Amino acid sequence: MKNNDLIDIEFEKKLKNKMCRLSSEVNCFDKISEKIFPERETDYETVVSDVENVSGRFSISPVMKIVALAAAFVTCIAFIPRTTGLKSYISNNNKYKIKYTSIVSEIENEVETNTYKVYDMALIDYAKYDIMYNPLCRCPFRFSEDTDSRVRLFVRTFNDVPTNQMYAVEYSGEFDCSNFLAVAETDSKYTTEELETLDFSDSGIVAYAIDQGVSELDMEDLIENNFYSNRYGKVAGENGTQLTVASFIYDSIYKSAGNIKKYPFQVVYFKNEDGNEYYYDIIGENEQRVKWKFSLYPDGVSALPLGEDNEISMFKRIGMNSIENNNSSEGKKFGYYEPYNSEESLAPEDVLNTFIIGFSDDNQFVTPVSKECKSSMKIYVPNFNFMLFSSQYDPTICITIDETGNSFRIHNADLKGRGMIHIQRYSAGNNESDLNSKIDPEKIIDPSQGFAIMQNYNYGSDEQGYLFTESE
Amino acid sequence: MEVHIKALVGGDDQIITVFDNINNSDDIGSSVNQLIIECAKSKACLEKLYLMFKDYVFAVAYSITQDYHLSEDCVAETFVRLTRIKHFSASKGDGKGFILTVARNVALEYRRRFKREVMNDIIQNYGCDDRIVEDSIYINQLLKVLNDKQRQTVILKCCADMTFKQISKVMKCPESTVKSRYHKAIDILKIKAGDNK
Repeated sequence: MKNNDLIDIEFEKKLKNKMCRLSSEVNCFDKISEKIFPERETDYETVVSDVENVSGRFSISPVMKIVALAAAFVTCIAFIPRTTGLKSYISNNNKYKIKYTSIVSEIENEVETNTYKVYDMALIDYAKYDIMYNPLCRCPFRFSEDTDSRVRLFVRTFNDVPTNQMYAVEYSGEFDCSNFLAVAETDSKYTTEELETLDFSDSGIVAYAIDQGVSELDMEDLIENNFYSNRYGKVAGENGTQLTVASFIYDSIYKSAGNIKKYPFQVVYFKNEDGNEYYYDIIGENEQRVKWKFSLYPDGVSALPLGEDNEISMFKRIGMNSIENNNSSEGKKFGYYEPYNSEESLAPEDVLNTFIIGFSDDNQFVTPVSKECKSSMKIYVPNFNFMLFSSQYDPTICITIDETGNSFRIHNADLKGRGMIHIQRYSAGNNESDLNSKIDPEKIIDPSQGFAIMQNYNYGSDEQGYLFTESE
Repeated sequence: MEVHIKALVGGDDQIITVFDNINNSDDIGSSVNQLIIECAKSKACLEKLYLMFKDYVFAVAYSITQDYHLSEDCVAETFVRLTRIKHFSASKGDGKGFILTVARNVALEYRRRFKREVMNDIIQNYGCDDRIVEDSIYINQLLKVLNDKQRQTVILKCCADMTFKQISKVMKCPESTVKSRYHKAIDILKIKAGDNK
């Protein structure tokens, strides 16, 4: 046995002993059983039943009650004429059972004849992070804690671009028809002829985007309009909470009112640095674009979540301020880095990654699943971040991928989208808004020279220091 | 190899002992499943289940909450929830994995709910037995260099006697991820142990 193995075993044994000692102190069985099997006050019950007996009152036994109810039910079914409502209920139920079978055979047929991108994940992951798998639709299945099922999501693609023709299957064990627990389909269907007529040239895509009044620059405006930069060089919300904010583009072929176009959906999402909930919005979209037409259990009952989203969903949609290009003299507040397009970044794969940004485990942030979305992912940072102020030679942001343990660093050169910076000395008597109007154009600098400038200027305290603002 | 000992008796004394290979892990698994199904109705089943899994559930909860009292509450809540389970198949389910999955979900929920209150080993254990305080601090200090998932993996492996495959089911990630996470965690702990020496 190797020395290392011995250390492992010794360590495991020690940890186990300590944990056993700790858990041996736990004794909560009485508390549990009290909650589940509350003891009946038998004496009191005897007294009550005795009193009832004394009064001579006839009591109906529970068995009799059940028999009477069953008899009444049978009478209703047998003798009361079936109303149209009852008939339609029964026929609808049968209709949905047949629909379930037809969706199952449609999936088998479609997957064989057309091209589909397939995602396979645990239901809990899909229910939590559905927006990262496909931002256009939510998880179509109910999640309950005692289930161990998985979901397979089929997204039809054409020329490697996803469409909004999708199917989802909830199953347990092996992926086989006999193990299907529920199936779902979207309302859009495409014929190959329809897809072949699409204009896939760049000009076609841009023309459509412009036609919709949305351009890629709108993303940056949305970020500028909705977020703030705090004094610690972090992105912050209106109430000052520190946030991690990212965006990505989901290119999709989309059918609406008979028109088929390729459309770049721009998704912005963010979360509190130490929170678990994510908030997101899709630019220019007032509601979820893709709806599940059917989501059914084999008995024809709807499998859709009871509310709009699953209770455990981590993503909540919020409406961000509408796009207004209100470039002020302050210039842009935010730059960004592309975690999958930086100098050290790792090649994207079609899996859900969780970034640990920096060294705090709390600051976890999930990425979109598809490689294409990952490639367009941007994480926003204020222009005045620690990289500008750091005294290190090469300040970096460390990102660890939680699932693999691999990590890479974002360097100063990976930061993009920054404009030029003004530096101006201020003291406690001045407020920042006064100074913005007095920016000296001769003091404009390039942010990449920030470190050199910091060496020359002594960055001051709260009361006195240098104000950094930016212009394009 | 697990053995079942049979004694052949002749006359007044035992004359020979026979060792039989047995594989009783399936039996244990199915009996756990049966206990899960029956624990809502039978106090004896619940007690049996509690005694079998209390330590494991506590370990899982502690790896997530890192708080003795919160973990104790998680143990109680986990068994209460087990009695309310409606859809559990005795023939298909992995009873142990299922219980620890419920425990993990409960602990994650409790940690989210009481995150602000879990602050400091000394404050949280104020008024406790010295041994509890000492052990809590030891485990927390030992595992504080690990991130959340590494910590859970190590505890599930070492204290809940789970295989990598079972851990992957509980943590809902691939087995290879669990293995690499575990080995990385052990490496980190070894480095830490080296530093301390």
